[in-house]
Amino acid sequence: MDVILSEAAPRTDLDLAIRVERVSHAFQTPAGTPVLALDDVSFDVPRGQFLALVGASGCGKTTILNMAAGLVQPVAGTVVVNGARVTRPSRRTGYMFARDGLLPWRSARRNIEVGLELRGVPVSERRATGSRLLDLVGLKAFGSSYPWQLSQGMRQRVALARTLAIDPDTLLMDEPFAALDAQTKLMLQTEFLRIWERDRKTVLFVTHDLAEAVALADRVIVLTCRPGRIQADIAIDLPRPRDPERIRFDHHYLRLSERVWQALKAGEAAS
Amino acid sequence: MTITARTADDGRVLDTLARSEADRRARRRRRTAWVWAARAIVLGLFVGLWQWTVDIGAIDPFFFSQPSAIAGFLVEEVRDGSIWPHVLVTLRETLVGFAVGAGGGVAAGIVRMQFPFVADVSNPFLTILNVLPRVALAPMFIIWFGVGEGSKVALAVSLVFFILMLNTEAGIRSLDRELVLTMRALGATDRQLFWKVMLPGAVPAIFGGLRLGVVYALLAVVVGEMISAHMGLGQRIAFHAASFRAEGVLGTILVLAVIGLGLNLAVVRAEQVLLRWRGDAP
Repeated sequence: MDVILSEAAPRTDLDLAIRVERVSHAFQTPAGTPVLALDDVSFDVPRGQFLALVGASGCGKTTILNMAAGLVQPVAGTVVVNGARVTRPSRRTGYMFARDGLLPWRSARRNIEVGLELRGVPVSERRATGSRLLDLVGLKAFGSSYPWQLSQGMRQRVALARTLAIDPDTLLMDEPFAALDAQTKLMLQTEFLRIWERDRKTVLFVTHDLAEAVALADRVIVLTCRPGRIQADIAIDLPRPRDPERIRFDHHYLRLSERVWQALKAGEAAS
Repeated sequence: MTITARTADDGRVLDTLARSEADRRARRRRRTAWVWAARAIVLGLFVGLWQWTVDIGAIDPFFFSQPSAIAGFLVEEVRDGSIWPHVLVTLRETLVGFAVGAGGGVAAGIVRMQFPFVADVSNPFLTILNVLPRVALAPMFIIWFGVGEGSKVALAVSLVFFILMLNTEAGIRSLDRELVLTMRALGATDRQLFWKVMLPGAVPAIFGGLRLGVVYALLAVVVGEMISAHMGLGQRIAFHAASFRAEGVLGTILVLAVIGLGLNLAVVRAEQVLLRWRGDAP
């Protein structure tokens, strides 16, 4: 196993945002045979780190995310977020999916505000946050538009704003830009990095797009397939602020990409 | 979005584009006019042919009446005001039956979707009641609720209830799982999920049920009135039929058609207002 720890300094639990400890998970296939999806996976995410999980589809990346979100309970092992073992969805955690999941009967603004509404935040405060986030994701003029009136990229911006509106400590992202065309994807990555680099929340980011992982993250964990195990843990020591559009031509970026790619290949060969 | 021309050539292209768009709109308007004209012609031909064949003695007005006789009957009914109490009774029975049946049906659908145990227990009973031709219950409703308006309302409720219950359940069941998952991840409680996702998500299906239900409510009321009633347009139809007055039967049916159209229009309008977010609302 090719493990490179990204943090040399010893950490206390206070600095820890997420701890995945000896997690194993299995699924029942429709045919009835159990399949081992995750096999003894452990890793820590320090507060403020942007961690990307990469691996081929069906490697249990999303399962780890769902565990951190409290939507799935591991068969063995524990997932701790912000010092507490996760047993159900936390209101301090934001989760963003590949599909926007916008409520079609709510305008963009009301979709952004929905998380605050669920938390019982007063209307005036909600409106203020809604306006601020519409502005932040560049949709100032589209607050009263319904989802069907927005393009795919705009809808995903609304989804991003909705996730940020609740001001989460931790961001869980499951291929949030996967459903977008290449151009829109780059644009949203750039914008997301710009927003993220301001307050540096802890991010657990699942993707099968290697370029995306290296361009955005501080650290990339490569998972093998069936069962999911950690193949490599690679620090991405590219300077910030980063521009995902320009970084693609950077030499160091290319070297890191190659390392991630080789780890992926090795993982595929091993399984 | 406005496009501004940068060169003379661009200007020509944009002009052509605007012209062809205007052409398309004009064509569409002309077509709509023609559709309405054709409809008027079809109606005129039908009424005229009917009037004429009776005039020349080709068909017997005793069985088929005549447009002029029906018009005369309606004018008379409206002038002496004798039709209004019956219209009022039929309308009231329909609206009360529709409201109670729809409210109960939506509530039952919600409860059954929220409590699978209730759904499982009630399934066989509700299935039997639903497949039963409810009109066959009309005599029992008259025994139970009297010859007055109660029995008609009951018959309407028995039809509308099931339509709305089944549509509400279908609406909740067909909800996009993605929305539920997203809202759950956003921290929605079960209660919030229900009020903010499931119920609004079921509204289009509920409106499908309301559009059908309002027609069935009128049907049930008229059938009930025809079987036994003191008042109501169904009672008038039975009365005119018993005294062999075809123009009375057909004239009353025409009034019922107008009422049915009005009720349907009211539901469609409410749907348009409530489902603006769909953009493609019918």
